[in-house]
Order: sequence, then C-alpha cells, then structure tokens
Amino acid sequence: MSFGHRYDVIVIGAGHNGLICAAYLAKAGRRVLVLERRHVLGGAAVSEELYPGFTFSVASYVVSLFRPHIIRDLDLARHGYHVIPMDCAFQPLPQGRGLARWSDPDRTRREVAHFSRHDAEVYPEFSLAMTRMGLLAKAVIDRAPPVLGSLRPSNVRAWARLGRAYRHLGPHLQHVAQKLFTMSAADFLDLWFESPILKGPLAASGIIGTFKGVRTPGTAYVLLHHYMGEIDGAFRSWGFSRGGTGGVSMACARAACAYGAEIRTEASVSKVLVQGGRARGVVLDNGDDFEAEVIVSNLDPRRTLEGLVGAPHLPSRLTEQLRRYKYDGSSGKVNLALDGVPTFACRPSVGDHMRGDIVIAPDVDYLERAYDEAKYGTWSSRPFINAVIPSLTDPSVAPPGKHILSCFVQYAPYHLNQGTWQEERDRFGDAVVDTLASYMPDLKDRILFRQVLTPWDMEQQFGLTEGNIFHGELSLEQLFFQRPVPGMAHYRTPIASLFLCGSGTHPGGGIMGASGELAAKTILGHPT
Amino acid sequence: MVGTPFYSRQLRLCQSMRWKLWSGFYAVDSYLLEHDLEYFALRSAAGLIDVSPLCKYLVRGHDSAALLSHIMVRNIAKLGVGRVAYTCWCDDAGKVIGDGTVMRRDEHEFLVTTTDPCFSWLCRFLYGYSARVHDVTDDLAALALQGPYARDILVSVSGTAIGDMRYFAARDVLVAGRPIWVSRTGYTGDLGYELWIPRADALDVWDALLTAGQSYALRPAGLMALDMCRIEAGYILKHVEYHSALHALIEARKSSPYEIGLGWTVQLDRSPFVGQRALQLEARTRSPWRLAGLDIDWSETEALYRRHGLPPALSTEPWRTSIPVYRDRARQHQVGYATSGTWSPLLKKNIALATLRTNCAVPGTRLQIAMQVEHERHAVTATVHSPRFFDPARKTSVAI
Amino acid sequence: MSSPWDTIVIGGGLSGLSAAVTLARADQRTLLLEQRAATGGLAAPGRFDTGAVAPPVRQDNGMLPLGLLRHLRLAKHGLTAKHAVPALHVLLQEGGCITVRSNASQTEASIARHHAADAKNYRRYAGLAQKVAPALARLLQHPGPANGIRALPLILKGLRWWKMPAMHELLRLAPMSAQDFLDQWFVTDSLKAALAIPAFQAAWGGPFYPFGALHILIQEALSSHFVTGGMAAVATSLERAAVHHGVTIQTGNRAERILLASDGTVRGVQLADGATIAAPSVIAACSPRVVYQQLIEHRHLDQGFLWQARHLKSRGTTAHLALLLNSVPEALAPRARCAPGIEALEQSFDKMKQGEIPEAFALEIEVHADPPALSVLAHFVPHTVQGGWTSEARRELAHRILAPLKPHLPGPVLSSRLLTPEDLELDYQLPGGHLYHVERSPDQMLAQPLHGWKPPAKGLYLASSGTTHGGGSVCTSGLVAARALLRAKKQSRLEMRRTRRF
Ligand SMILES: Cc1cc2nc3c(=O)[nH]c(=O)nc-3n(C[C@H](O)[C@H](O)[C@H](O)COP(=O)(O)OP(=O)(O)OC[C@H]3O[C@@H](n4cnc5c(N)ncnc54)[C@H](O)[C@@H]3O)c2cc1C
Repeated sequence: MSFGHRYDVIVIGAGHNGLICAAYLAKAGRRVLVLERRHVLGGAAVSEELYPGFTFSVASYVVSLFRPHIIRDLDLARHGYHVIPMDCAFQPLPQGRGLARWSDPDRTRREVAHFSRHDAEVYPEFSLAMTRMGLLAKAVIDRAPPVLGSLRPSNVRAWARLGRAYRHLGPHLQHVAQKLFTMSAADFLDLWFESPILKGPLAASGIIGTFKGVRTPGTAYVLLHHYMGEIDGAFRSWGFSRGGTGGVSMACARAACAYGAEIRTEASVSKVLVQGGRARGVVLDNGDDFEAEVIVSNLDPRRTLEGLVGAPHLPSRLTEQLRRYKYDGSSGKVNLALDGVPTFACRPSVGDHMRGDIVIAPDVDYLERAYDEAKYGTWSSRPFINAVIPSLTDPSVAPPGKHILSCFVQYAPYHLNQGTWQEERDRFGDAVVDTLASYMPDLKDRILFRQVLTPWDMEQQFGLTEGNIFHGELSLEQLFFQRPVPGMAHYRTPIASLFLCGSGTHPGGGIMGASGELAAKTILGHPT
Repeated sequence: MVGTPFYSRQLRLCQSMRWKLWSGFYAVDSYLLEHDLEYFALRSAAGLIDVSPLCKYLVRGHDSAALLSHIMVRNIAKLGVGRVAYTCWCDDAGKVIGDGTVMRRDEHEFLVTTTDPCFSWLCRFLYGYSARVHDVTDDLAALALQGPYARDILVSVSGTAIGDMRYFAARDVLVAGRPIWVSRTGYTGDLGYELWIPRADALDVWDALLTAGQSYALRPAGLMALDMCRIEAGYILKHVEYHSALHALIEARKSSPYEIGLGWTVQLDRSPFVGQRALQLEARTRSPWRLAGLDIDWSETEALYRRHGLPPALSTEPWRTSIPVYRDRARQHQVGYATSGTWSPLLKKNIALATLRTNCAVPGTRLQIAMQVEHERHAVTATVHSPRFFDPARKTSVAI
Repeated sequence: MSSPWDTIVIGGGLSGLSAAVTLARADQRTLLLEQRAATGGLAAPGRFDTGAVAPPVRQDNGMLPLGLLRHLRLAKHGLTAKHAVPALHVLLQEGGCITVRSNASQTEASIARHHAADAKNYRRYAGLAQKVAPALARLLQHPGPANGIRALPLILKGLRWWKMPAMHELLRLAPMSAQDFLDQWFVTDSLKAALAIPAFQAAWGGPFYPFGALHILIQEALSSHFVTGGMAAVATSLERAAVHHGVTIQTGNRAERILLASDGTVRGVQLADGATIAAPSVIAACSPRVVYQQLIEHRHLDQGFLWQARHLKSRGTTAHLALLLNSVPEALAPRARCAPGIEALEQSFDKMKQGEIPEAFALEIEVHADPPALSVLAHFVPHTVQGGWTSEARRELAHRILAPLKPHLPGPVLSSRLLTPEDLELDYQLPGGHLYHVERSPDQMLAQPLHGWKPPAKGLYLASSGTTHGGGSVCTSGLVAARALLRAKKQSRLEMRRTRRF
C-alpha cells in the first residue's frame, strides 16, 4: 500500500480534546496532522456566526472544568484563551422575586433565607462538604484511572493514592462520599436542604447531559462538577469564553499550530486503515490518504471503532460492549438572537442576576415531571432550561444593544416514540420559547432569529452519536476505569497504535481538555 | 447587601467612608479619618457601636433551658432569670462551632446572640424538646454603649437607677420612652452595656443616646476601635482566633474551647451536652494549644528601625493576619502563630493574641515573633502575657 | 444494678426471634418484647373478618439462610425445608402463562410456547444467576461484622473465584435498571415485568431505575430454600424454639425508650406504661428508624450519627392483599407473578409518585391451602393517596389489584384484608411502610456504617431487616447481632478476669 503523506500522528477530529492532544504531541516534537470534517474547528465547543453580527456558542455555552494546568502548559492565554467569570445563578420563579445565588456567601444566604432559613445556613456547610469531595474527585480526574486487577506498581500506587485521599476525608465525609457516588441528586440534596425551590437548580446540575431524572440514583455525583472549580487554583472557573466557546477551541488550535501541528478542515475521515492489528493510516471521504505511526481519534468510541475501523477488526466481545455503551442523547439547544434585553417578570431590572446562569428549574418535582414525560420518548413540554445571555458580559458576540439568549434544554430524547425530529423540531422550539416567555413576557417580541438544535441535529452537525453531548452517558457504570468500556480505559484500543482522546474516555465530557491531555501523555509514554 | 437599622444615621456620620461587610451588613469601620479618636472615646469617655449585625435568636418553650444546656458547654439551666452567660458550643468532637451570649429573659425564654448564623444548628437539637427557635436578627437592633461614662449616659437617658446592675446582668429599661433590653455586657473589656432595641425604635434610641451623650463626650465608634479594645481585653473573635468546626476545611483548623481560652466556660459534670465525651477526655489530658497574649518588645523593635536609620513606624491600625511565632531567634522552631494584634495607645505597647504550643504559653516565656522592617524579615522578642492586657476594675464593679 | 435479664430483645419478628433463640441457647436470660398481640412480625398470620386465618404479609422468597439457621434446630420445632424451588407461574398480559421451574429445560419449553428466542435466552439468563450466586451469598449472608468500607475485603474475597471478565460483568450489570438488564435477554414484555419484581420490593424505583438488576440477581441467585407452610411456619417454629429455650415473651408490650446511662451504655428499657426493665444489653429488632428516632434519646447520640439516622430512606410502595377463597386456585399455585409490562409499570410508578392509584400493579402471589387463601403483594401503591385512604380509595385499590387475577380464581372472594403502605407503617411500626424497614438502595446497602452492625451505644445491637444483613435474607441479622453480643460479653469477661489477676 502506498500513502500520499506521512506523519507521526494523525488526530481525527478537531474538537477541543483533539486539538489539545495535538498540541501536546506537537509540543513534544511529533509531526502532527489534525483532520476535521467540518469547515470550523472546535466540535461541540464552537462559535459560529449564524445570523449577521451574532456569534453564537452553538453547542456548549459555558466553560467550567477546563483544566487550568493545560492553560499553563500550552500557554493558552497567549493564544487567546479568555474566560470571563459568572457571578450569579438565577432561578426565576412564577411568584416572588426568584432566587439568585451569588459568589458572596452572605448575599446568597439572604436570598435563600426567603425560602428557608435553615437551608440558607446549611448552604456553606454543603459547599464545604462538596469542596472536600472535589478534592477527592480531583485525585481522580487529573490522572488516567487505575484499573482493577493489575498489580503493576504504578497501578497499585494509583489505587493507594485514591485510598489515601479517601481516608483523609474522615468518617463523616466518607459517608457523604459513599452517598454521593450512589444516590440520586434529589435524595442527596435532601440530606441538607428542605426547600424544594433551592433544591431545584442544585439538582438540575446533576442531570445535565444525561437521560436520567433528578430522582434517579447515580445523578448526585454530577453535582460535584459545580464545586470542582473552587479547588483548581483557577477560582471562579465558571464563565463565558470571550467570543463564544469556540474561543477556547481556537486558542487550542493556535497553540497546536504554534508548536508545528498541521490542521486541515473539510477533511472527513471515512476509514482507518488497519493492517496486521495496527492502524497504519486514514482515508478521507474524497479518497485522499495519509499515513502515520499513531492515529488518535477525537470521535466517540462507537463512531471510531465501528464506523472508522469496522467490526471485522475488533474482538466480538468489544463489539458487544460497544453496542451496550449508552448514548441516549437527551438535550437540545435553542439559540436566539434578540433585539434587546428581555425582562424577567419576577425581577424586572437589567441587573447582575441576568449576567450569569439562568435556570428554569422551579423545583424538584418540575424536573422530575420533565423527565417522566421524556422517558417514554417524547420531549418535555415544560423542560428544564439553562439559559445564558453572554452578550451582557461579552459585547463582542452581538451588535450593540442586541443580545444573544442561549438555551440548553432538557429533555429531548434522541429516540422519539412518535414522529421524527425533523417534524418535531419546531414544535419543540416553540415549547422552549413558551416556557421562557412565561418568565420573560416580552421575549417573543424580541426574537430576531431562532435556531433549534435537537439531538438528531447534533448528531448530523457535530457527529455526536445519538446526540449525546458527552460522547456517552456519564453514568456510574460508564465512568472511571469503565469508560468507555471495561478493559479499554486507558485511551488505548484493541488496535495497536489507535488511540482515543475524546469525551468518551476518562474523565468524560465537558470542556475539560483532560481527555486530550491524558491521551497525549499516554501516547508519549509519560506517566499520567 | 443591606444597612443596619442605623444606616441612615451612619451614612451622615461616616466621614472616612470606611465601611466593612459584616454578615452581609454594611458596618462602619471608622467614622472619623483617625480611628484612634474613637478608641480614646471608648477608653476615656464613651463610645456607641452599632452591633446590629450580630445574629440574635429567641429560644422559647418549656424545655428551652434544657435544650440550651444540651447545646452549650455551659450549664444554662442554672442561669438565673435576668442574667447573661458567655459560652461557646461545640460539635461531637468537642471542637468549637461558635461563641456568644445567652440571656435568660424569663423562666422559658432566652436570647442567644452570636457573630455568625446558627439558627440551623440550634434547630438541629429541637427533637424531643418542647421549645422553638425564632430568628430575631432583623427584628432587633443592637447598640453597644461602652466606656467609663456609659453608666452615666444610660442613667441620664433612661432616668432609671441602673447603678446596681451587676456585670452580666440584664433588665428591661425605658429609653426615650421605648422599652428596650439592656445587658451589662460588651466586647471592649470596659464598663459598658449592650442595648437590644425593637427595630422600629432603633433611630429614636440612637438619637436619644447621642443627644444625652453630648455632655459626656460620647462618640459613635467603628469596628476598628472596637477591634483595638477587644485585643487589649483579650477577647477572641471567630474567623480570626478560631474557625467554626462546621466550616473548617481541615481538622487542623478546628479548636477546642480549652485551646482558645474558653476552657472556663465548659461545665463538664452534668447532663449530656454536645461534645461532652470528647471534652471530658481533653480535660483529663493536655490540649496541644493555648491562647495567650504577646507583649512585643518595644526597644528591640525600635532598634531594628534604627538600623535602617528610621524612627519606629508601626501602623496604628489593628491587624489580623497570621504571623509565625518561634522559640528561637533563628526562626527554626515555630511554636505558634499570632492571630491578631494592635498598638495599644493606652498601654504604649505592641500587643498580640496568639495560639501557642501549651508548653510555651506560660506567662513570662520569651519567644520570637516575625517582623518585617524595611523589606527585611527579622525576629523580635515577644513575652508571653495573659491575654487580658487591659482589665479595669470598673468593668465589673457596681456603683453604689 | 442487678437485673433478672441479661438481654432484652425489642421486636418479635423473625430477626428478633432468631436473636432471642440464639441468646437463650447460650444461657442468656432473655426477655422479648413485642408490641403486637403475637410474635412473628410481618411473618405472623393475620385474620380475615370471618375469623379465618389470613396469610402473613411476608412471602417465602426462598432466601431463608438454612445453613445459618441449622444450629437453631428448627426442624425439631416443626420446620421442614423443601429442597426444590417451587414452580412460579408468570401470568402474561396477552393471556396464557409461563411456568418457571428449577428445571431449566422445562422452563424453556414453557417459554417456547410463547416466544422461541426468549426460551433460548432463558438458559443463559439462569446460568448467569448461578454464576454470581456464591459471591452474592458470601456477601449478603456472611455472618461477620461487615459494613461500609470494612466490607471491602469481604467483597474482594467473595469475588475471588472470579476471573476478571466475570467481575467486570457484575460491576457492569449491577447498576443497570431492571429494564436494561432484562432487555438483554427477553422480548416478552410481561415476562420481563414479572422477573423485575424483586427490584421493586427492595428499593424505591420503577423498572427504569438504576440498580434494579442487582436486586433481580440477588433474588435469582439466593432463592433456593423454601419451607413448607411458608413464613408463618418459620415464625411458629422460631417461637416454639424460643419458648423451649426459656425466652420470656411478652406480647402486647411496647418498648418506649431504650434507657442509657450518662456514659452512653445501655441500662434497660422503658415501657409504654412508664415502667422500666433493667438489662445490660438490648437487641433492637425493629426498624432502625424507630430505634434512632424514637427509642434512643437524642442527647445520647452524636450529631454526625443522628444526621445519618435522620435521613434513612424507607419509602414503602407495596400493599398487601389477602383473599379468602372457596378452594385453592390451581392455576396460581404454589406461587405466581403478574405484571402488565415494563413501560406500563413505569407509568404506574409515575402515578404512584404523584399520590394516585395506578391502573395496574406488579403482583406477587402466594397460594395458601389451609384455609384456601391468596397472599398478594402489589407494587407501586402510594404510601398516602391524594385525599387519603378513604374506604372508596381502598375499595378501588383492591379492585384494581384483583382485576388481572379474577379469571384465575376458582370462585368468589369470601373475604379480603388489605394493608396499604400506610397501614403497614401503623400496624407494624415501620416508618415509611417499607417491608424491608429501610430501602435497599445502593447507598443504604453498602454505604451504611450506621445501621449495620456497630451499635451507637454500648450494649445496644441492631437486628432487623433494616440492617446490612437484613432485607431479603431473613433472620441473618438476628443471628449476627446475637453473636456479636455474645462475643462482646465473652471479651469483657475475659478482660475482667485479666484485670482481677493483676
Ligand atoms: C448542546 C451542548 C451544550 C453543551 N454545553 C456545555 C457547557 O456549557 N459546558 C461544558 O463544559 N460542556 C458542554 N457541552 C459538552 C462539551 O461541549 C463536549 O463534551 C465537548 O466539547 C466534547 O469535546 P471533544 O473534543 O471530546 O469532542 P467534539 O467536540 O465532539 O469533537 C469531535 C470532532 O470530531 C469531528 N469529526 C466527527 N467525525 C469526523 C470524521 N469522520 N472525520 C473528521 N472529523 C470528524 C467533529 O466535527 C468534531 O469537531 C455541551 C455539549 C453540547 C452538545
């Protein structure tokens, strides 16, 4: 076989993980080629001008868990990484003034005390417990996970490290940790709080991106994500990327190029060539082919192994496991261009409460009802919505006086039991706008442009299998040393020299960059 | 953020524009450009301090005494009506969660005051007791009237003979025709009273006091002057001298009452209370830490400045950063840390409160405290002292 | 303080009785207090309005740990074990019925009449259960003091036989929902729904809820020891054994408080009438929530501990309906299950969450011969229905439970007795009305240092379905607690002797 071009490493897909992986490899002196199917870089972390003058964070909309050491390692700030922190999480309510939670604890206490004095005071205790849990999780997410059953010294050390982190918690927090990893978000919050209203937005962060309800066991641990930033040394890590989340990806891309990587867009890989159990190169849709020592895929495990490699090259056990690996996308996105700031009926001023996270999750039961509706295969008529108005903080994304309202919506199950998403798309979009309009009466009059992304659209546009935003459900049996599937948790695949670096690997989804970094280190043979 | 009930008055009086946040309230750090004038008012005439941000809870019900005895390290059941007790409360491991005062209003009603919210902690123990906890923080304004002339001012404004009121006593008094609660307590270590005023009457009482106080050189005083006074008096402050066990991120940040100078409030041999078992154990052994005062040697300080050709220039503001304390001048063996300190204008001493290893906390022991003079780190001798640097007889005496 | 009793056992259910027998056999002077009129707890037979004996709430799920019970010599007191697993009829929604027997090829044949692929897969499914059985048995019936993280070595030991892939297999399977788990093998909806029932029994959640697979596996793996006469027979023989060994049983006597000395050791028990009985140790064989929320004075408990105790979950979703019949319904005997289908059940669960009475239930049916009667456990009944359990609501509930069974009954229902979760709560002192006292959700099963074995006060032991060893595995917790108590006694005796020597 002869190839057109030779590289040390080919990275398939220019999601932020792929780009970070490429940057680390290029920094280590490898000749790296990144191949991206679309005309833009970033995958699900992408900015696009969908309507003249408006730059949308089309898919992901806030940056949360981006690993700060990657910013330092790759000097991303120099390449344009710029995240503006959010100060508030605002939950409008049908009655009263709604609930805003601020960075300042006293201010938050005052707000929460309107609903429950007890909760207001326990809130710091809860945050403290979560911070301690975060320290435990940090020991997990910044490293390749140890596996079961291997007695390799590095593996044993990794377990020992985890054991120490766990022991360090002390009996009470160990108990909390055990609960955190097994309970549902709603049950876990019940351990602290009494007000269903406060529990609403808190529990909501446990279901983002999963097809589970707030009362489904296994959702509690996702709450941790909100507290991880506090301990990263990158305080206030929740924020808007300037110029949309694509800004993060572009910074990664510039860093990669600066280290010498080559990036090609509109280069859709159709096949990974396997010879003698080794990946030798890739073939594009247009027939071009490239050869490399190592192939890294930023796509999710099923797309990579079944789509690009093909079942004949895989052990049958693995095909079976891949078939069982759960995607079940459940989220939609509605992007709106507005000709002015909408007003909340419950807190009409244009204030700081609108500059952060806006959560439509009035209480726990609302969320559970949204799930109950969706679990049989229809979209929630009164969905959970997480909205942001980035243009109030970052003027670069919309023309002066105009605004962007970006709404993440759940639940919109990928598998509809009736109809198709093409047919349902607009009605789903209407339901979202109606729900929002019940809190912002003037919203509908301000809409200049609307984009509705259903899980089906996300699959088409971003290549997210079944529209799962995290490349596979973040449920307990698909995490840690079992992500994506048991026995394949170290970024490796059964095909020698083919690696995975997307969100379908440990530690999972979100604009984190950890998968890309850890994959690169695995390839380079660095200890992780 | 919100102002206290006195906010409108303070806004006019606060020339320095120096404010602070206290439990989510705006509080004046110092009214005047020179805060030590307020300090001198407190020490030589009288000062009026707005302490409304204190958290206040009314505990009512048949079992309220039993409930509070269960929560507090002090046996509140024995507290007489019209008396106030200073106490702290702990978690199961005997680590302090908060400190404050408990006033017995009558057989079945208590007022608990403290710096940080503790409503949910008090409520945690309600099960099995016939008692209720009401948060009256926003309903009650609070003023501290402190200083040698505090009594005279209070007498003149209330027209009541309160001269016989003993230290830590409480009673109802009419001020400007408004019924308020007065307790002979305070945070300055001097003669003084704290006034608990229904929110609606707050401004009237404030005005009446300031008017009557004119004849006694009364001044409104801010938190900076208060801080200087409390350090002189050896009173600890939460978040500075100790951290609540509920909010401490690591074990090492928790303290037992014995370690922060509150050992005397613990009454061990009685009905069960939270932390009893752990405290019994600790009382029998020796706690590793002790609260102590440090008298930082002035002539050494002066000499250090002189080496640079400078006159000694210490800030007159109180500080609360943690400063290491060593056994030796070479700064090799750390034996503790100072938590807050101030130049005491009255004593003409540079003093600090410190947490020290128990064996080093004996008064008279000479230790070394780190000090930075003109960009250089040095050590200065600091002699261990009882935390009560200033303790006048009038603090507790009764006028006849 | 000298006392006529060495130990007081609070609660005369199966756990309490087995604890009492174990103690009495070790010559402990034992007093057993039971608040109801008879011992047996949920295994005690009831009465129909007509006066006839009604089957108990607790059905024989085949998980009686006979190996452990052997030393109680229950055979001598009238208990006979059946060594074959009795047939289980699964009534299909679309009519007809599948009979599951211990003989897999017979079962296969029975399923094959409805669905060929399901029949083939049944063998694989049953094989899996066999594979995990030994490990699960070690885990759940091991009488050692294991709970929380301290159970870890035990778990690892339990998994020792397994080759790595099998271990990964359990880790992968256990967190699955009943739906996902059963979908791997079966197509027939009501067969899947029927097989999923153990999950609903164990923890709050519908067939879509994670960790259902774990409970199904436990049931399939450990269900092997049935007894003649059902759970009532176990209760009777245990009571006989207790009397035989000299246990004093006081029924109709309710413990109101466990008295503790100021150093936190047990002093005795206070009764409802205010009288106190002194004893140096107490085994509380009632719901842990009752123990922590009513029996022990809070001032004796640590805050951290109380915090955990206060949040024990015990949301009961099961009702019991006993039916008195003319003759034995052969189509259902000896036991049967009936459920409309996975998705329909999830919908019932949703209804239940909102406090409504669902249309259809997951039913577990046990047939009793003397007198001819049915015991029916219905899952997804709300604890409290909107508007309360009025007589109309109760009638409606009974009617809906009965509907799918009607065609299989030989004659009219002579009398019936319905217990909603709320009734169970009140009758049996089960806060929340959960049959296992507290839910067997993953967080409460493994991650429960609290209501496991370690007592919060010296001399107090917990033994009930609500403990780590409780739940499906009847009696184990009683034995575990009694043995722990005896061990502690022996240790303190030894220590005393040692100090006396010096
Ligand atoms: C609607 C939505 C909202 C989200 N919100 C947030 C949020 O607010 N905060 C947050 O932290 N996370 C959020 N996420 C999750 C986060 O965006 C993703 O987990 C993350 O971006 C995934 O990054 P990745 O690099 O692993 O993969 P991707 O970004 O999916 O990258 C894969 C890349 O591969 C390319 N590709 C696919 N097929 C081929 C092929 N055959 N050949 C070549 N290239 C190919 C794709 O075009 C894509 O660029 C959200 C996701 C979605 C969808």
